[in-house]
Amino acid sequence: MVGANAREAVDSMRKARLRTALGIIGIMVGISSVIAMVSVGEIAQEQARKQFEELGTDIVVIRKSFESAASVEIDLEDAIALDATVASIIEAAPRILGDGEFIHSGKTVGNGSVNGVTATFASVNQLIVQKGRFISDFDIGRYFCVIGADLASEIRNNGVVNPVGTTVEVGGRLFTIVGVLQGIEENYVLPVQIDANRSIFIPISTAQRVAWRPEIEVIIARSRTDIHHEKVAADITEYFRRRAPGLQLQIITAKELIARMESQMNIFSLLLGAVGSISLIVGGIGIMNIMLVSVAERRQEIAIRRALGAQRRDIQSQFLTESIILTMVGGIFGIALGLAVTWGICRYTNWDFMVSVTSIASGLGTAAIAGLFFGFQPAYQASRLDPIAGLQSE
Amino acid sequence: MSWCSRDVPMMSETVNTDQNMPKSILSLSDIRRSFQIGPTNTEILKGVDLEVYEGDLLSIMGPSGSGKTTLMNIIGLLDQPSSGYYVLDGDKVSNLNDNALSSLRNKQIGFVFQAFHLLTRSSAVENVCMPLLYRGVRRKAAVRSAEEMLDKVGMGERLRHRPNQLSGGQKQRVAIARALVGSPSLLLADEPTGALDPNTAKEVMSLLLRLNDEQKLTVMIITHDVNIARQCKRQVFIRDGTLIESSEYMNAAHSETADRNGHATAAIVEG
Ligand SMILES: Nc1ncnc2c1ncn2[C@@H]1O[C@H](COP(=O)(O)OP(=O)(O)OP(=O)(O)O)[C@@H](O)[C@H]1O
Ligand SMILES: [Mg+2]
Repeated sequence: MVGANAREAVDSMRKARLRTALGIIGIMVGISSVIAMVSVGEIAQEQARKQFEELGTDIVVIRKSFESAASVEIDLEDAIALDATVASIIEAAPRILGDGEFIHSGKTVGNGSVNGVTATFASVNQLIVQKGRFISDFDIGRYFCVIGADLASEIRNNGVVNPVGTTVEVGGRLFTIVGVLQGIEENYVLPVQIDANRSIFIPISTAQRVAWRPEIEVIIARSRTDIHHEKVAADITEYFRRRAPGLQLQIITAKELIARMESQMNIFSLLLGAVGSISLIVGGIGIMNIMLVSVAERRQEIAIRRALGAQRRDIQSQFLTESIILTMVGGIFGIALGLAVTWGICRYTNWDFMVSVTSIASGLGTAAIAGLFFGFQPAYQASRLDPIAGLQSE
Repeated sequence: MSWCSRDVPMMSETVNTDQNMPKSILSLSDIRRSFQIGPTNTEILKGVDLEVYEGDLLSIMGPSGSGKTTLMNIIGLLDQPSSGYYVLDGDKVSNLNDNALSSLRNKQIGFVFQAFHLLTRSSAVENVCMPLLYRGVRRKAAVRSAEEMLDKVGMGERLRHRPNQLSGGQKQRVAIARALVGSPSLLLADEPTGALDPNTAKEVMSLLLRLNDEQKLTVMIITHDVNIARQCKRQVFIRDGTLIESSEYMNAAHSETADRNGHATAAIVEG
């Protein structure tokens, strides 16, 4: 009999097209917003993860913490010896940070940061030399510099074909340009900005002498990927505790950032899902209303069926099946619409579109549950109608 | 001769012990039904007794509001009496639950209504199938039976027509086919010709007569039309909430000086 009731349900839906279409549209909008919201959330998360991966998930950023005593600083020798001493660190690149106006051939060619660095800074931060060379460990105390791509093109605009070998004046001192960097896309996910294109890089030993603030501002390091980020942080802390008692550090690992970001993203996805669910509930209430109206309109039909021997559960299952089919069909259209919307958003934001299987499954699941949930009351009402009242001719 | 006396035994088994007596289809005894209308409780049926036998063709007449439809709803198991005994084809139906009543209704009762009450969006065949589907008959078999039944009532040419594509008489034929497709033991018709023009009414009536005659179908017809009542084997009247069989009624009518029921009863008395 269930099969027959389902057939009755399908039949009466086919025969009442407008009602059916309205119900389907309501659920379609609801499901599509769930799908779109959840998918966009997942895609955004994936996108952020990709940015990290380009940068390397092994980055560790070490700074002197604000809680640290003012008198203790990160020692340059300690910073340089970090990768050789701590097994979990592969490379460490300390930096002394200053800034200034860059003057070339009497003209101001830029305004940016002056990074006092070691040779490792290029490899740790994936800086690529386009011409000449990077700062080397043998440049101790020398007035050499490597310039960023924007700065180089500004100098070339002034008629200098090859900046390498010429000098640039910074803070009243002349630095000989030994290399030019390739342009690089700035990465915003890390808690340290390099702004390599508009900066110059000088030997860290020189920076110690000339900088207004000669302390080491940051150590950017790469850790072994097979070691957990908490262990890496602990190793670094232990290393400096022995070498520089009283020095408090702030250690941020990319992995920790990713984890933090992921949990934030999950909350974000959940929020988006909740917003989508609200429209699903609205759609579900729409279905319920349509079904309730349908039950009211079809009092006579129900009464006739009852007079012909339909049991209450026949009527109930007929109407429940109608709701479930409505929401399932709405759900399938909704999934298609939701994916289309997601695709549109991805095109607009230049993200990589992907189909989220979980969102589809949850979309269909919620559609079915919504059908059951919102269809139950109308179906129950239908089954309880008094056939005699329904049979009275108006 | 009296068919409806309070002395008739209530249980059908007892009735059927007599070999010469026809089989009892329906036995009502002291059926009462009252409705709460506002603050007052009005008793519409005040102790109805009725015995109907297989092959009976019975008309029920009575003024509007006298409780004819109410009685038919009780007989058709759509409604339950406030009190009284009711035995349908050997089954005592008082105190059955809704599911049991529905399935008994499905098997034993065929309804024909004044307003046809076809499912408007379904074809003739789909309408006629319905009672069979609700008892679990497979769709194919149900369609076959429905087609045969429609053919029997002269609707074999219009199997796929929807109700709005049929005339009143045709709709009523479909309704009769639907009432009969499940071979019920009792056909209940509430003013089956009430919405039809005289010629069509005559055709539908002769169909019912033929079914009663050829198939020994037991039929109860509620009507306001004396001509229809006259064609029935038995005439029953509702007066003041009780039933009076025509023979008794004539006596009652003779003894009563003022008859408030007017023309209809007068015609019967004359006929
Ligand atoms: N559910 C109900 N609630 C209250 N009163 C009712 C109900 N059903 C019927 N009645 C009352 O019972 C009385 C009998 O109604 P019924 O429909 O049986 O009359 P009838 O003999 O079929 O009349 P008609 O010839 O007009 O069809 C009427 O007064 C009606 O108002
Ligand atoms: Mg009536």
